[in-house]
Parts: sequence; structure tokens; C-alpha cells
Amino acid sequence: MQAAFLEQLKTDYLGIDYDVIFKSIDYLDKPNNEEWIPEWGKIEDALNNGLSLVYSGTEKDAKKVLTDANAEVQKILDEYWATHK
Amino acid sequence: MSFSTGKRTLSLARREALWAYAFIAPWTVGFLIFTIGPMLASLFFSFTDYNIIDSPRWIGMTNYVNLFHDDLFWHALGVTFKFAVIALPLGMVFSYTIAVLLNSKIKGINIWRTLYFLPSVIAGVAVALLWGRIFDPKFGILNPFLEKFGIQGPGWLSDPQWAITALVIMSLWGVGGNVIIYLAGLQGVPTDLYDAAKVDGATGWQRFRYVTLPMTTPVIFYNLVLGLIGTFQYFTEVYVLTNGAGGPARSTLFYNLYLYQNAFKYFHMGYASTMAWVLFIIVLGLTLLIFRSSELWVYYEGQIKGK
Amino acid sequence: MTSFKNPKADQSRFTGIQTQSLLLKSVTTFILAAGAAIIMIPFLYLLSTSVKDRDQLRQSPPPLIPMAADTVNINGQAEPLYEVTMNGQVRKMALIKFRPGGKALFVDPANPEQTYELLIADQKELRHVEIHFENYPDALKQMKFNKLLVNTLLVTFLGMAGMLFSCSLVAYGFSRFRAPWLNVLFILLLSTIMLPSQVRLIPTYVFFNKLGWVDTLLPLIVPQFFANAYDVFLLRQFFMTIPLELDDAAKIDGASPLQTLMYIIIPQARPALVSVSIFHFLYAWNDFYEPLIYLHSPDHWTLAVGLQTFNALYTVNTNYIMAASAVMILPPIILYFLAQKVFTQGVVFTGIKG
Repeated sequence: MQAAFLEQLKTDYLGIDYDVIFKSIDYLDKPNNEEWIPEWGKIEDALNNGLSLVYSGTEKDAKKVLTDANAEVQKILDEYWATHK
Repeated sequence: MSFSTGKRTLSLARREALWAYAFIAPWTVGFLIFTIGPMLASLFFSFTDYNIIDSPRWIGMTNYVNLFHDDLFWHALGVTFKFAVIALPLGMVFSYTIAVLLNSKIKGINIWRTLYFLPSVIAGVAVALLWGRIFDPKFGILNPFLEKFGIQGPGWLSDPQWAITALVIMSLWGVGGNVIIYLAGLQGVPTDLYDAAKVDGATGWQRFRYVTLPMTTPVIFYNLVLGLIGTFQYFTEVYVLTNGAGGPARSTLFYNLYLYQNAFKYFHMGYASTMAWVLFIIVLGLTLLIFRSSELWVYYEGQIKGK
Repeated sequence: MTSFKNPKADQSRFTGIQTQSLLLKSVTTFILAAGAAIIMIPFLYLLSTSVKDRDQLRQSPPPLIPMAADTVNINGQAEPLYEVTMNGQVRKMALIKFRPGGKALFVDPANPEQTYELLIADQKELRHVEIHFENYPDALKQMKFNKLLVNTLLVTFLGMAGMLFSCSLVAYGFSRFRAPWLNVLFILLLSTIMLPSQVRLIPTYVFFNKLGWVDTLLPLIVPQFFANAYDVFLLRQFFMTIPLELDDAAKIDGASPLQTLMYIIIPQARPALVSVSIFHFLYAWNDFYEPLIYLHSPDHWTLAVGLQTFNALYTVNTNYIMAASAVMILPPIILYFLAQKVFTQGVVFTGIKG
């Protein structure tokens, strides 16, 4: 079925190198476009924690989750900048 | 016994000692390179800010202070202790009971032993993956099974309240490893003690309480100490089931996992070293406590206590 | 310790003990059987899920034997077949559309124009056994099993060689000689069993990093050549059960301690060596923590790490994950069945009595 889809794409949109597109899928968001942020590992974990609070149904107040996550990320960054001027 | 033909000839004892040291050299060298050296180095790192790329930067007690104020540190300790307090006693009771059952002289006992030991030889990763699917509230088999009894099963691994319980259940599946040790301990109880007890008119339960149990306290002690240390090293199953995040909502953020995140995800090597040494001290303290208490409840062969 | 047995007392309670014993035995057997059944359930789930396809996975609750619905082609679509009871007659009909109220439209395949609206609950879904063995080669190919296997085997067997070599030497040193401080060193060795590995982990990683060994298999193999406390302890306990007369006989023949080790002790110690080898195999095969830390590029992963990554990427494909897991647990299970006695014997030598 994928082959038929590909053929359709090739006729609909001419002159595109589909090889590049399919190979580049492996590199989607790698490296993450936000990786340059200091302490990215810690921040990502804090944000994911917020997400999991919502997904698991523990926190039903989305605004609270966002505020808490924001505070946590801010704290991480503050700590970082305090020691890396 | 030394031959005094001059300094060139070594005494027999001397020669024996040199051979001994030579043979254990692989271990002594390894001990220095892979144990003492790293331990001292990590103690050093714990006073620095180190991210592996730049050289360590001395910051004194900052890591320890930050650790004390780190909510996640206390949370991780809490999670680990909670798991230990539930899983250890439960596991020990389970495995001891199973060992007693497997010690009976019934036909085909070897088949049962084979089956019960089997789960303990399987990879942590595979076990975690398998049980992760079993616990799935929609497509797993645990919740439908509970439903047959009218119990509405929780989300298990996706419910922060139940995640730890799920891990405990999973760990009970692999008790086989401990059962083997208890079984060996049970089989080591001298039978003439049982005979003497029978002559004294002791019932089965009394024989268990006053002969079996006391005589197997060394094995219980061994399993308790190693079990405690093992709990603080719990990593593989948690990592696999939560993709390294300790979720849901950090409810399974074990100490070892948080340490791993700090060291190899955030590259806070100094901070992680601090965590490692704090862990070492905690484990050391608990182990010493258990050792001390063992004088009260562990009976070694040759000791005469009580009945 | 002599035990005094009164034959008369035994006899009078004879029948009592017999029946009590029989009751106890049957209860024990029953409990053991029930427990064993529970223990086997996850294995059954593993095998049964590994041969299902995507649609079969969504059946809730999952059936033990992989079943798929019988289908029949109606207007170019495959529709599930049911055994329908209508007007006292039982016919095979296809369900083409769901309707509110737990009902659906059924048609006779021979006469697709005529639809009947009936309650689904009253009908019986027709299924057949459908097993997808091709899940196994598919999953293994996706996770690049061959490379993972090679890496795992290298780590396991090279490490085993190192362990056997070093632990035999060290155990021999601790068991057959007397030297100042030897006992202290032995106690030190034992205490390392209780040392949490985290306190050595980071500097060891830094050390290997400086050597350029991170992302190779070396950090997993080389330390094995420096002996580990557990295996040394097992071997030493066993060596101590080998009679010293053999050593003396060798010494009289002029053998050096090394020769005594190689030609006298090692051959005698085969059971213990087999035990520690098996324990090491299981440890190395299942190890996840250290490979995770040291191996970064997919080409260098071991099975454990590869399986976890495979799971992270293909979580939805439970069938592939189960198939891959089944393959990974197979060698340890085979080894286990082949070496039954080893497990009970090996542990006894740890001298748990203190």
C-alpha cells in the first residue's frame, strides 16, 4: 500500500527527491531543536513530568500543571546561571 | 624453618607468602584500579562541579547543600524506601514459604522446583517488557482477570498510585533466586534436631517454630542484607518500563534512576557522585544496623540459645 | 547427639502420622501446583502474544490461543462471519454495519442485498486459529538481531574467559596458602560484595572515557580479568574441599604451585567452574545497566540494550516485542534446563551458614 501512495505522490508533486525525504525522517528532531538550552536534560524531564501528570489523570487542572512546570524550569535555569556567569 | 645460607634463599614461609600474593594479584590490582581508586575519586568529585568535558571545578560543600534542598532527592529516597519496605518483607515471606513447600518429600518435587526457579534466570529487560504488557489496563491480562471477580483494576503502571505496587508484584514473580538459597538453608538443618523434637512430642508447627526457623536465621540474614542492597540498586526494570523517566509523574523515580539521570543525562557528575556517597553511607548504616541486630536473632551452629 | 526413640510410642501413632502425612502431602502438592500455574501464565502470555497480528492484539480480553475472525468477502470488503440464529434456523451471516442498541446489520453472503437487523449478543462470532510465526523473523530483522547477538556473545564469553582465569588464580591464592594479612584481604574481598556499585561507577566511566574505551565492548570485558568477589568466594570454598594430600603429592613430584593449580586443582574443581561459568553467562547475558552506560552507538549494543530501544520505538507492536523477548530469554532457559543441578549445588557452596 505504501508503494501505491509513493507513486501517487510522485505524480502529484513532480521534481522532488523523495529519497532525501524518506532518509531524513530518521533525523526528525535529532538533534532536538531546543537542545542548546543549558540543562536541557533536566528541563526536558521536568516538562515530561508535567505531561505525565496530565496523561495519568493525577492533575486535572491544566493551568496548575503549566504554572508548576514553569516554576520548576525557571528554578533549574536560575541555579544554572548562578554558577555560570 | 629458614635455611641460613645467606640472604639469597627465602624461607619457606616467605616463599609461600609471595606465591599467595602473586596469585591474588589480579584481585588486588583490580581492587585498586576499579574499587578503591574510583571510590576516592568519586569522593573528590562530590566536592566539584564536573561535566566530563571541562575539568572538575572545586565547589566545596555546595553539592551536599543542594542535595539536602533537592526535593527530588528526598522523593527518590522515599520511593526507594517505600519499595524496600513493601517488597523485602513480602518477598522474604513468599520465598521462605515456597522454600518450605519445596522442601517436602513429595513425588515430582524436582519438577516443581524447576518451575519455580525458572523466572529468576530471565533477563531484567524481558521481564519488564513482558509484565509491562500484562499490566496494560486495556490489552493486558491482569485487569480482565480481576474483572472476573468483579474487581475494577487500576491503571497499574500508568497510575502514579499503583505503579510501585505493580513493580512489587513483578518482583515477586522472580523470587525463585531467593528460594534456592532458603532451600539450601532448610536442607542444612540437622535432622537429629527434628528427631529430638519429635521425641519431645513437638507438633509440626512447634518443630517449625523452634527448630527450622532459628536454624535458618543465617540464611534469612544473608538474604536480608543482600536484598536491602539490591533494592538500592534497582534500575533495569524501572528504566525499561518508564523509558528512563521514573514516571508516571515521578512515582517510580528510584534513587539509582535519579542518580543515573544526574550522571548520564544531565552530566552533573559531581552532583551524582555526591548522591553516590550519600547512598553508600545510608547503605553502610543500614547494613551495620542489621549486623548489630543479628546478634539478637541469628543463631549460628554451635551457639546454644533458648530452647 | 543421640536421639532416643521409643519404638512403642512411634507405632501407636503410626496410622495417625500416615494419614496426616498424606493429607499434608496432597495439600502441599495442590498449593505448589496452583502456584506453578500462576507462575507459568506470563510465559503463556508471552508466547501467545508473540504470534498474533495487529488486529488480534486489540482483542480484549486477549485470548490464549491466537484467534482471528472468519471473514467473507462482500462488495470488496472482508466482513466478519457470525453464526446467526433466526427463526429457529442457524445460518452463517456476515456483519456489515453496526447499529445502535447493540444491534447490527447481517447479510447472507449468498444473497448480499437482503439485510437483517439483529442483536449481536445473540449471535456467535466465528473464529479460527491464526498463528503468525513470521513475527519472529520480522521482529528480529527490525531490531538488527544478528549484530546484537554477536556483541552479546563477545561480551559474555570473553568476559567468562577472563573471569575463569582470574578467579581461579585468586581463589587458589586464598585457599591454599598462608600469608600475613591474607585473612584481612579475604574479608575485604567479601565486603566488596556488599558495596553499592554507584560509588565506583562515575570515576570508572571517566577512566574508560579517558582511555577512549567508551562506546566499545572493552569496559564490559576487561574488568572481568581482575576477578570478582562472588565467584572467587564460590571457587575458594570449593577448592578448600579438595584434599591437601593431592597438593602434597604434587609438591613431592616437584610441581610448582602454578602447576599444582593447573594440573591438580582445576581438573578436580570442574563442577564449581561450571557453576560459576553458568552464573556468569546469566549475569552477562541479562546485564543492562553497564551496557546502557558504556555502549552508545547502535552497532555496539548488546541484546538487552537493543531490546529496550526496540521497545521504545515499536511499543505499539506488542507482538514484535514479545517475539524478540522470547528469543532473548531462550538461551538462558535452555541453559537452565540443561544445568539443573548446578543451581542448587552452586549456591550451597556459598557456605551461607556464616
